Amino acid sequence: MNHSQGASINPAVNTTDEVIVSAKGLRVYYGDKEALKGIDFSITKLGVTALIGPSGCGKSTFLRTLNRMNDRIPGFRVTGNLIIEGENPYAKGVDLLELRRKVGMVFQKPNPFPKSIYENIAVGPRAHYGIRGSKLDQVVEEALNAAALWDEVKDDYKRKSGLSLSGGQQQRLCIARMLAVNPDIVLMDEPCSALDPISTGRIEELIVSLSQTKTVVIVTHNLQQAERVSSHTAFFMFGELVEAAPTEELFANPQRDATRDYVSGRFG
Amino acid sequence: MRRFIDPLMGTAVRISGVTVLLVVGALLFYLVGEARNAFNQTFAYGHRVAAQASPLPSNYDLQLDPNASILSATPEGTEGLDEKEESLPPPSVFSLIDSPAGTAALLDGKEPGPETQVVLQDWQTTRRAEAGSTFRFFVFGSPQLQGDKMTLVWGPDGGFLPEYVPHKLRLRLVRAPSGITAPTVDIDLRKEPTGSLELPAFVAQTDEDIQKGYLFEITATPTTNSFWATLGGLLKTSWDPTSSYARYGAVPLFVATLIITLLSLLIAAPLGITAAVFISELAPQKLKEWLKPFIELLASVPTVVLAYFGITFVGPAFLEIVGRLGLAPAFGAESSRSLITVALVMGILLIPTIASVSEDALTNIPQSLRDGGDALGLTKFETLWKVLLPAAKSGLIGATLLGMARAIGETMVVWLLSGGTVRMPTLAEPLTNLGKPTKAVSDTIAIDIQNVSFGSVHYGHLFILATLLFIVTLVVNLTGYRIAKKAQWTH
Amino acid sequence: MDALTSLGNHNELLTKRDSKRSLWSGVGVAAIGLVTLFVIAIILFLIGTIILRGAPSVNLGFLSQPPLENMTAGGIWPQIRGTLLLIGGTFLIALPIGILGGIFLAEYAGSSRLIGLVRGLITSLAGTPSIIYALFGLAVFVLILKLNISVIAGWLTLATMALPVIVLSTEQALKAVPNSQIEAGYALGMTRWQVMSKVALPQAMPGIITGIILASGRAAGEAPPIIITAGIYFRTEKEMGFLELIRGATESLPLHITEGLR
Repeated sequence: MNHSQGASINPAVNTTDEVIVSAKGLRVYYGDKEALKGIDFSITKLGVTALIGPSGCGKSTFLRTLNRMNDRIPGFRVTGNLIIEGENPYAKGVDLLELRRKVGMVFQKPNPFPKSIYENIAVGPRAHYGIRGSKLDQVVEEALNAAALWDEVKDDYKRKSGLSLSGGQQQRLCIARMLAVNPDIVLMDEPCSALDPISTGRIEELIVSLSQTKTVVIVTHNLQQAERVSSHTAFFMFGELVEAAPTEELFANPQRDATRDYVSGRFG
Repeated sequence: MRRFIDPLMGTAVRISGVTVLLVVGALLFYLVGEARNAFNQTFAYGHRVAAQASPLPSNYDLQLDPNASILSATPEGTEGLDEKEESLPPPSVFSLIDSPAGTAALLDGKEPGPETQVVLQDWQTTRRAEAGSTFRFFVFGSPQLQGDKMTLVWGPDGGFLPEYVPHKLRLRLVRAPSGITAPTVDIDLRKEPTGSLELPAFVAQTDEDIQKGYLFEITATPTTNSFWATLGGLLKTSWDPTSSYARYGAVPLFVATLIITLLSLLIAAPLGITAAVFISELAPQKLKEWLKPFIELLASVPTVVLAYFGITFVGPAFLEIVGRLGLAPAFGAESSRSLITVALVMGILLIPTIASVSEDALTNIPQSLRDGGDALGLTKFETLWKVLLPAAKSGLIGATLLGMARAIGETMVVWLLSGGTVRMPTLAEPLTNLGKPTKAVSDTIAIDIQNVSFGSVHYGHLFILATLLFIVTLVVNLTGYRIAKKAQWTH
Repeated sequence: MDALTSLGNHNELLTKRDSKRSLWSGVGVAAIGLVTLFVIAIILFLIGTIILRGAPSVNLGFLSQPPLENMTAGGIWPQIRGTLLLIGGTFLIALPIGILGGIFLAEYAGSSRLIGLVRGLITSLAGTPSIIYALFGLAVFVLILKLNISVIAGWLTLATMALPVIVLSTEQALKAVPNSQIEAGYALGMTRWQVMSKVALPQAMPGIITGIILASGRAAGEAPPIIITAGIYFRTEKEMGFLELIRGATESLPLHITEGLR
C-alpha cells in the first residue's frame, strides 16, 4: 500500500490550534495487562485525526478511553492525565452524561436500536434536553440532514424500522443519532470496516463535512482512508504512540522506522 | 462384526424414530377418540306437578309437596327401579296426606283405557330420555276438597334446568272432565318452567274417578341432535355431572382457569422479568452465575410441594391479612382453599419459567446496543427502559406466553388449593370470586377421572376438556416459542 | 443545524437535569434490585419453610419404615420405593427410544416439511400439561390395554411424557455439534453410526444429560399421571414378588403428599 496512490480529499481544512483533547502520561490497564503505556498526545479542535496501527496496538483503547466506554470492562484502570474540553473525564464527581453528550461515538458495526428511524434519533435529545413535539421533529430532521440520510428516508422515517435500512444507511443513522445529541467531539471506531466501498465513500464524505464543525477522531485500519479523510494522523504500536503528525507529513516523511514500515505496508 | 453394526443401529434409530411418531399420533388419536363418548349423551329432564286447593297457601313450596308427581326422563329410565316398586297398586284418593287435591301420573302417554294402571307410589314416574317422550297425568280433588276451585302447580324438579335440554317441552290440557269447561292450556315449559293454573274443581270420590278427571300432557320434542346438543351444553354455565339431571356446562371451569392464569401472570410476569433484568443487566458476574441457577431451582420443586406451601402458608396468610383488614366478608374468604390462593401459588410457580426465558432474551441482545445507549449518554435505566426492553420485547412476550401455557395446564396446585367447588364467577361482587373456592379445567379432569366409568358420557366430557386444554396449551406454547425465537439476533 | 446547535451541550440547566436523571436511574436500578431481592426472599422462604417443617421428621427410620398407625406414624419407605421403581422403569423404556429418536430427528430424518411439523409437535408436547398424559395413559394403557392401575401402566404413561423432552434435548444437543467435525468423521471413512457414536454423541452428552435430568424431574414430580395410572394410597400386601409388584398399583410420594393435603 503506497501512500502516494491515496488521493487526499481533505487537505487539512479548518483545523485550529486550540487543543480540545490532551493526554499526558496516559496509562490504561486491563487487570495486569498494560494496554496504553503512557500516551502523550493532543488533538486540536475541528478537523479529523486518524489513529492507525496494527491490531491490538491500543488505538481503539485510546479512543474508548476518551468517552469512558471502557468502564464496563472488568479490571479497567486508568492513570495519568487526560483533559477533554478543560475537564478530566476521570475526575471524581464528573458528570458522565455531560461527557457523553460532548463526546459522541460511532462503532465498528452499525448498531441501530430496533425502533423506527425517528425513535432511534429522538431518544438522545429527548433524554438530554427534554424536548418534545415540533422542536424534537426539527432536531431529528436536522440530524438526518447532517448525516446525509434525510432524502432517502424522509417519506417513512417515522414508521420504518432502523434495522430495515442497508448497512451504509444504518451507519449514517447511527451518525445522525449521535449528532442529535449535539456533541463537540465525534469518535469513530473503524466506522467503515463492515461496509462496501460505495457506502464507505459516502461515510468518508460525511466525515469530512462533519469536521467543519466537529472534532473527529477516527480509528481506521485502512491507511488510504486515513490519508483521504484526516488532517492529522497518529501511529500507535504496542500500546505506545509512535508518531503523530499532520497526515501528509506522516505518510510522506515518517520520522520513525516503525512508522515507515507500517505506512509502506510492510506489516500490519 | 463391524459390518453389521452400522445397518443394525441405523435400523434401531429408524425404529425409534417411528415409535416416537407413533406415540405422538396415538396421543392425538386417543385424546380425540375417547372424547366421542361424550356425544352418546341422552338428556334428562324432570318436572314436578301438584294439584292443590285454591288459593295456594302463601308459604307453599312445590319442591316440598309430598303429593307432587315427579315426571322425569333420565338416561336410566325405569331400569333403575326394582320390580316391587313398579307393581305397587295405584294410589288411593284417600291416601293423600292431609291434602285436598292430587295428581296421578301415567307411565306412557297413551289415552287411558279401562285397564290403565296409574303406577308408582308417590306418583313419581321415570322414563328413558328419548326423543318425543310424553307424560300424561290426571289432576283431581280428593273428597276433602272445599270450594269450587283447585290449582295446578308445576315447576322443574330440583336440579333440573330446562334450558340445558335440547328439547321443546310443552304442557297441554288434553281433556277436561265431562261437564266442566276449562280453558285450553298450552305452555312452553322452557320459557315458563314454573307456574300455576286455576281450574274448576273436580272431586274424585273413588279411585276409579281419578281417571275421569283432568288429563294433562307434557311432551318433549327434540330441537337438535345429540352432537350439537352436547357441544351446546359445553357452552353453558353449570357443571354438575353427578346430579340426576347431569350438566356439562364447562364455562365456569374455563373462566376459573382464565382468571387463575391471568392473575398468576400478573404476579409472575413483572417479578420474573424484573429478576431477569437484574440478572442479565445489573448483577455482577459472580452473582449472576449464582442467581440464575438459584431461581431455576424453584422450577425443579415438584408442584405438590408448592401446593403444600400454599396450604400451610399462603392460604392462611391471605385469610389472616384480609381478616385483620376487615376485608374477609368482601372477599367472601372463609377457607384457605380459594381462587386467590391458587393464583398466588401459581404466580410463584411461574416465576422461574418467565425469568429464565426472559433472561435468555435479554442476554441475547448484542452488546453493541448497550454500548450504543452508553455512548449516547443515556443513564443505565434509560438504556434499559428505552433500548433493551424494547429490543427484548418479543422474547419477553414469548416468555410470558410459555408461562401462560404452564399456568393453563398446571394441575396439582389447582387440585389441592382450589377447594374443588364449581363456581361461576360473578360480576356483581368481583372480589368474592377471589376469596371463594373454585374449580378449574385441569383439576376437574384430575378429580373426576378417578370416579367415572370407562366409556361413560362423563368420561367422554373429561376427554373433551382434555382435548381443549391440549389445543389451547399447544397453540400458546407454539406461539410462545415462535415469538421468543424471533428475538434471536444475527449479530 | 439551527435547532440542534441552539441546544448547547453544557450549561447549568443541563447539569441539573443530568443529576436528576442519574438520581432517577439510581432509583430505577434500586427498584429492580429490590424486586429481585423480593423474588429471592420468596424462594428462600418457600424452601426454608419446607425444610424447617420437614427436617425434624426425617431420619433413617422415617426413610426406611412403612407408614404406621393409620398414616400418622412410621415412615415413607414404600412411597420412596414406589417412586424410584416408577422412575427407574420409565427411563428403561424412554431413554433408549428417546435418545435414538433424537438421533433420528437430528441426523436421519432430513428436513422435509413433515419433519418440521413433527418437530414443532414434539416441541409443544414437551410443554403439554401432565394431566393430558395422565388421561391418555388411563384410556390407552389402563383401560384399553387392560393393564389396570399398575406400575406397568405408570411406566408407559410416564415414558410417553418423558419421551418428547428426551428426544428434543438429544436432537438439540446433536444439532449443536459443529458440522465440520461430523464431516471430518465421514472424511476419515467412518460409517454413519461410528460418526454418531464416536464423534457426535460424546460431544452432545452434556446436553443429553441435562435433558434426562429435566425429564426425570418431570416424571417424578408431576403427580397426576402417577396418581391416575399407577397410584394407590396404601397397598395391603406386604410380601410380593416383582411381577406381582409391578402388576399392581404402587404407593408413591406424590400421591402420598396429595392424599395428606386433600
